[in-house]
Amino acid sequence: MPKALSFSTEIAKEVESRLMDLQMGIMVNILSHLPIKSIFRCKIVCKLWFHLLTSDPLFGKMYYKRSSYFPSIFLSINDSAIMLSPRFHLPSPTLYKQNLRLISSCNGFICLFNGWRNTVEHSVYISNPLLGEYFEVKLPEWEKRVQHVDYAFCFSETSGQYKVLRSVVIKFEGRPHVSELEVYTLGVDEKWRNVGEIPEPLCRSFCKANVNGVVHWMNSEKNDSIYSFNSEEVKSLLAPRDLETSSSCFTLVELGNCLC
Amino acid sequence: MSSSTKFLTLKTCDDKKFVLDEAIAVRSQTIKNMVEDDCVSNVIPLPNVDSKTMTKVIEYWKKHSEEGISKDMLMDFDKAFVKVHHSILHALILAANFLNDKEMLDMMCQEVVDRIKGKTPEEIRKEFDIKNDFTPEEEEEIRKENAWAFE
Repeated sequence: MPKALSFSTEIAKEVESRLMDLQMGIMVNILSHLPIKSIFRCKIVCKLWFHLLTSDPLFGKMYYKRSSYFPSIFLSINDSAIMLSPRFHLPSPTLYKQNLRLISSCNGFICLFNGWRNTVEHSVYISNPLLGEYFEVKLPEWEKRVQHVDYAFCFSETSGQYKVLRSVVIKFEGRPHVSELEVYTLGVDEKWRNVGEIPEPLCRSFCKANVNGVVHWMNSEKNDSIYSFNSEEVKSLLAPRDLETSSSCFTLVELGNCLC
Repeated sequence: MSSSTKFLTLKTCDDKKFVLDEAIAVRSQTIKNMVEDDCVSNVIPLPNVDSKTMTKVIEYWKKHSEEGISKDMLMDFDKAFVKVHHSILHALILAANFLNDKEMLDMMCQEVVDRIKGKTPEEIRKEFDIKNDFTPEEEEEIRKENAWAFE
């Protein structure tokens, strides 16, 4: 902290205390109170603010904490098209394609899917819709035997890391399909890591829910087990018994940090 | 005033002394902790606050401790209180942060927020004497990416 003025006469211009000398924590706090348009404008005021607003993790945290006071609604229609409330800004108009779909959201970040699940023609984006920033996740090479893929997105509280999960259904001649799980830790992993087979192949999409940073999904045919992936391994839980005989498709949701 | 009123002496970094009712001074969590931990001898040194700023802080504390003052009067006082040059605003934020007076800190920060809101980058720089350290090319680049914010 700069030493405070040590003379009581009129303050000389050179030693005048300035907003720029505020501690980072206070400055970030101030910036995180701004409406979205002002945040963008502040980005070009000076390099320090640009850095605070774009690369300082503290800003994202504070802004997210505050944004829970004004929940923003994000609509996904029929799981296929995405509607954004006017508050949001998706960066590139080329993203608005017929097949843009929401994979998941965590801490104000959203994971978007664009394209088709059964061909190589798809991409995955991580976006901060409030700040209009996004990047494309680099996907592994598409193998011929892959039938279709699906993605999930989660945040691990313990490690403070965001992870993208991908289930890959592989077809074999004369044998049942196998699902493998791959994981990509944002900002850490260079490549996707294969974490092994899922106990049962995932024929449809992940019907998933994130609870405490753990992705849960349900066996989509028999409704008899729930699987979870914390960050390194798949565990299975028994689903509530009454669901077993039912043939309807259930959806797992998260309610106040509990599965239901 | 009851006979039990205790006074504290605060000394700012420019060696000015302020004698203040303890009941008022403990609006500062920092001073409160010192009093509770019994580590207050005669004078409490405030190495991060100068006398000019401390005078303003005490003015605020006294007003907010006045008995029977109405909410409207306090609001008017607060409104006038924050209308100062940004260098004083900045000194007050530092003081409120050091003294750990959350209410005052929040109010001062809100004032900065209000001064930034609705202004263009040029107006913000002017308001707070901030030097633009981007090259024109860099500035243009960021503007392009966020064009909607400048409409």
